[in-house]
Amino acid sequence: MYNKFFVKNLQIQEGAETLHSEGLLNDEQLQMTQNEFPSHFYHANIFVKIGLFLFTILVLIFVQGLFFMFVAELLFRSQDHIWGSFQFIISIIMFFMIENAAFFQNRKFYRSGTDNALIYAACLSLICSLIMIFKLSNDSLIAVSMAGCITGIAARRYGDMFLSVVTCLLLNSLLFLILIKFPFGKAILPFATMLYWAIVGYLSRNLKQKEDYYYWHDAADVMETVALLGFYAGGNYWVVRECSASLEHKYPSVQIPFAALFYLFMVLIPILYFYAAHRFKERKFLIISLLCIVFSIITYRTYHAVAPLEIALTISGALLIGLSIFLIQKLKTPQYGFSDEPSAAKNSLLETLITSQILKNHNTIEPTGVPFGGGDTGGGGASNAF
Amino acid sequence: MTIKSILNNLLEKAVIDAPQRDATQTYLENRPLSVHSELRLLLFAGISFFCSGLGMLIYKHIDTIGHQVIIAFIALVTLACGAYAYLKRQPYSDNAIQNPDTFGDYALLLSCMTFLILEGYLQYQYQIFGTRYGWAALIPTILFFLAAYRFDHKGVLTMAMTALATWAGLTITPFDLLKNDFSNLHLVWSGIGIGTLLIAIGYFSEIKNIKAHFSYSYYMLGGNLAVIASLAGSFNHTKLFWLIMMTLCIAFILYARKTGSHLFLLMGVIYSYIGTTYILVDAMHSGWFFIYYGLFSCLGVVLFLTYYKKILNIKS
Repeated sequence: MYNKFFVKNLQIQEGAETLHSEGLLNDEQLQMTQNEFPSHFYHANIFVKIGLFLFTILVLIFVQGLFFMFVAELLFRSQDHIWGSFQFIISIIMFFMIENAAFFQNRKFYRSGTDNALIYAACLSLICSLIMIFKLSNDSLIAVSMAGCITGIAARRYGDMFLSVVTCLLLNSLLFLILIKFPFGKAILPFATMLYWAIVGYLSRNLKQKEDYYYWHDAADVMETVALLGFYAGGNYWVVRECSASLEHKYPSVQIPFAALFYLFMVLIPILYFYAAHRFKERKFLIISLLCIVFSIITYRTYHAVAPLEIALTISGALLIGLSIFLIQKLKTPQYGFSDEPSAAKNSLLETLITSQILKNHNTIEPTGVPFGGGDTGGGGASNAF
Repeated sequence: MTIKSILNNLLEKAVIDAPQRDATQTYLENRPLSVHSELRLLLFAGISFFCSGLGMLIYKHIDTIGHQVIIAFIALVTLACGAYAYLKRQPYSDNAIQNPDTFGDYALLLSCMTFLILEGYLQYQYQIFGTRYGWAALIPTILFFLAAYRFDHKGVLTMAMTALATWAGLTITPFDLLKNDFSNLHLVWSGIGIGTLLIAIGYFSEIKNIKAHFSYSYYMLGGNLAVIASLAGSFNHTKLFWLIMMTLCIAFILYARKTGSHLFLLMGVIYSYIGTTYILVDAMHSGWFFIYYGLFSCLGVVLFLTYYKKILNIKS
């Protein structure tokens, strides 16, 4: 469990840094935020995090290997559940390390690579050990539920993004495993999947906006993204057709019932996401919408020979060039809630904007009363981050 | 945490006052969504689709379409885009230039890419260079270097470096670096030579302050090429290449220390770790040694990366 107080302060600091880079906070205010909201987490750059993650995983693999080399002689003829029990002890030791204040929490790791690697390895090791102890390898329903419980509890405790996504996916496969036991279930599988992801998306979006649940904000954000993709994939013609083919063991895949409906989904869902991008002004929806359009085109091309690849590429490339040039020209003045504003270096504009807003709201004619300024450094600073 | 609650928290501690909170919130809620980078990405995707489609089209239909038609069409695209970039040019400067025209840089990129297609086509069809393949790579190298410096274009600079490496028989693209046939000692030396040359150019552009912002690209491509070549040399040929590799890795880490570039720090650590591990494991031939070495060396790297700021004396 990470220190919630520091997590909160870290989020405030990060938010303030974003505001500062957009020129909405001045340097003094940023400095003040860092003093007022201290966060003592070990702060690592993304590349250092990657290195820490990789090498921690390697350390764990070597520890595991060393352990098994010691006990291999002893356990050579023994059965799965004895191996499993040893693995169980390893995972208990790992969880103990994670939870132990002296070893871990005083180091102030927070998503620094090392702690992520330890948590994932501990969960994986626990799941494997339980599968070995209770001989669950043939009983996928119970194994998946057990794994889902473990990752779910860990995701809740550590607010981890990856584990929460894994939990969602495990629950999705649980739904899948239950439904394919019934003939009726097979028929409604795509719709059930879409419904499931719609619920996940709705819940995580709500969770994200709850002020007291900031500890899970990032996890909810990632879950929402995955839910959007899962909702689309559930209704994608290619996914449905190939999945039903693999369930029935009929290759090559044949036409599915309600084909027209799934083609309709492939068109409607990206439009829905695009509308959401416009409505909520969130970049995420826009990017996912574009991705879905690409997937829809690829799906259509898989089953219908429109044009040979080279002609399709040339024409679509020319169309894309034309479209983007057209949009760049058109959005020189912001329209329909979209703009072509570069993200940095617009501080002077912003200042006037906000100052005028304040004047309008409060009828105070004191241009010096509000401490804006120092905008000349606003947008820079990111260039040496790599 | 939503931006709203962040603003409220800032207000509580009096970092901002109520009017600023309200103004910021209203502004953030009402401002249009900026699709600046998305549109550039679309444009870039369009250019690469168009060029790869065109390249495939030519190879597949080389006999059915008239050669003159193809050549005329590609030459037209190359010239038109080049002319557009030239007309929208800014005066030369040793520093970074901000081109106010949105499409100038993209037109230049498209022009350079179609130039490569045109040249490849001419060579394939008419053997304009005969068997002197060196010239086929050298011409775009020179042209692209000139264009990159004149128009201040990092993408074209990368293309120029790629062409230079092709001239030496190497491929330099990050994901294809390992596809080079480094069992050939000659290629190992070319890789180290060209990599070092690029690093040296980058170093001089930084010192003499001529396009100093290009130096990162030089270090990135040249450094990776030289390190991979020397690493492959120590695998395939003599272990002495290890010394060259370690020198380069230390240079990476020193550069990282100087500029705060964590990517170079990670590259230096990982490359030197792989090289050293290979040398040691190859010398020892022992499973137990391998496990103990792996355990403690990885632990060492984790500790190094955790405390690298203290070890390298970097102030945060």
